[in-house]
Amino acid sequence: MNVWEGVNAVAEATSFCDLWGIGGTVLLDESGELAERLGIRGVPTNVFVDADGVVSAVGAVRPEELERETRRLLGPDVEIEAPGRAQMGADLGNVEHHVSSRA
Amino acid sequence: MIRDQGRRPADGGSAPEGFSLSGTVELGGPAAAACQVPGDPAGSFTVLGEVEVGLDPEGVVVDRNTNRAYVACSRSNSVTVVDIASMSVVDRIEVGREPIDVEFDDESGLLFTADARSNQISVIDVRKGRLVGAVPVGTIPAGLALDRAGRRLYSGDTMSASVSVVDVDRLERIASVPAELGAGAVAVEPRTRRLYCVNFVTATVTVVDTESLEVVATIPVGEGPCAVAIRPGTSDVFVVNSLASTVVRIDGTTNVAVEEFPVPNAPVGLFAGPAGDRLYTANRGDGTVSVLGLDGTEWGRARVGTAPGGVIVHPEEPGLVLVANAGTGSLSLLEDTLSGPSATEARDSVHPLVGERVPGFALPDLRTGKVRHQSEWAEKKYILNFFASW
Repeated sequence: MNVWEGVNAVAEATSFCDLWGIGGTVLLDESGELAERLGIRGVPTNVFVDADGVVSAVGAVRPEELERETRRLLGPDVEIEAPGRAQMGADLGNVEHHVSSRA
Repeated sequence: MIRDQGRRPADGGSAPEGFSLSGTVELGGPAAAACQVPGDPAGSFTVLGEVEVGLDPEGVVVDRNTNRAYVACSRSNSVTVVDIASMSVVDRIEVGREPIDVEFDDESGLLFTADARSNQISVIDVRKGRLVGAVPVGTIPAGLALDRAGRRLYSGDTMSASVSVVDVDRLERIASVPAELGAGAVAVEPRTRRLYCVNFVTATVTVVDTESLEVVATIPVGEGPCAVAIRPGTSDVFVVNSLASTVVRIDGTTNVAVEEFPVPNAPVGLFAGPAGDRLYTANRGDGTVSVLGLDGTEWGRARVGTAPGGVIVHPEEPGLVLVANAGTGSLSLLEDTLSGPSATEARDSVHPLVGERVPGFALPDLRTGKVRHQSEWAEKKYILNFFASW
């Protein structure tokens, strides 16, 4: 959920997702209206939603909190791939691409 | 005057033509919530006011002679000038693209911005109120530190993985020192004349002897180091790790990280109080600023605008704290009268959304442009991750 981008939200968010290797669905909350409705006060913030559409946790950005809340949401039997530095896409190739696309 | 809590800056004011004043953000409601009760013997940490300044404000400095704050509004490509007494915008000065950090030299009246997307430092003469030059530096400069005694300005150049050394009198880059990828925030310890540069990507701090311009140490810290501050009168160097949500203390005599303590989510701003007894962290994920004792105890926490970053103490008013809120696009002014941990110290509480149904939403998909509805994810378990590119 990309929020508070200010200007050129599509270009900025696309460049950012390329840099950090962020796949999956990305939605644009350009005005911050959804963030405001949810009481989100900063970034990054995670909102965990269960199968009943009920929020089970908000925040949880430290690696250990993220893992704990994900485990709580998914239950004990689901395998979780631990996020690591490499999976965040923070490699030089991506960074250089990002720079050239920003310049 | 400054601490007159009842004041409300008038909209309009004496702004020059050519831009519209954004006025002030109304206080009240949850955004103005403070964390102390009146009469707390430990004092309080409370919001006095807030003024809109521009898009994604990051760095902030104060000119003590004029009592004006200069705020680098990175997505507005400009510096917004705020009269602190009235908390009103009095000027806006265009600089290069994406100014992030800002420094001010009292002696010359020159203000410097690190323009991340122009690979330069813009130079503003505040007495003339206009841009007077630019100094080319490395790729994506993101942090600045002024060594007043040495008449040098340093910039952490993110993609060059280096620190540029600028002569502030000649306004020329005179050297570049290797750091590591993600070099950004920098600080100079005035007694040892050592420079500390945080490297966001490699999660380290590079220590440079500013006399020889040699790297003397590289210190591992936590994930995502974002800001660095030196406790006045000491060799204690503090670093905030935005991804780990911690503060690390480095002993500057041994250049070893000796202590790490948790702080609220995603701290990106850090300032060491002038009396040497406290730290301020701006917690970007939490929408708050914390006052911390040197042992990591949180003395108080105040809600500011959304996604705060740059935080400083007023150079003439040690109890006055200024914070740039990147999400809200505003500058907050706070008063800190704390003398220790407050009886009503802010604690992590359960977010009011927990246990509630997530409300319906309909927002465009970044990649397809098509509107996606929350109902698509009904009966599924999912995580909404709110992020911004800055």
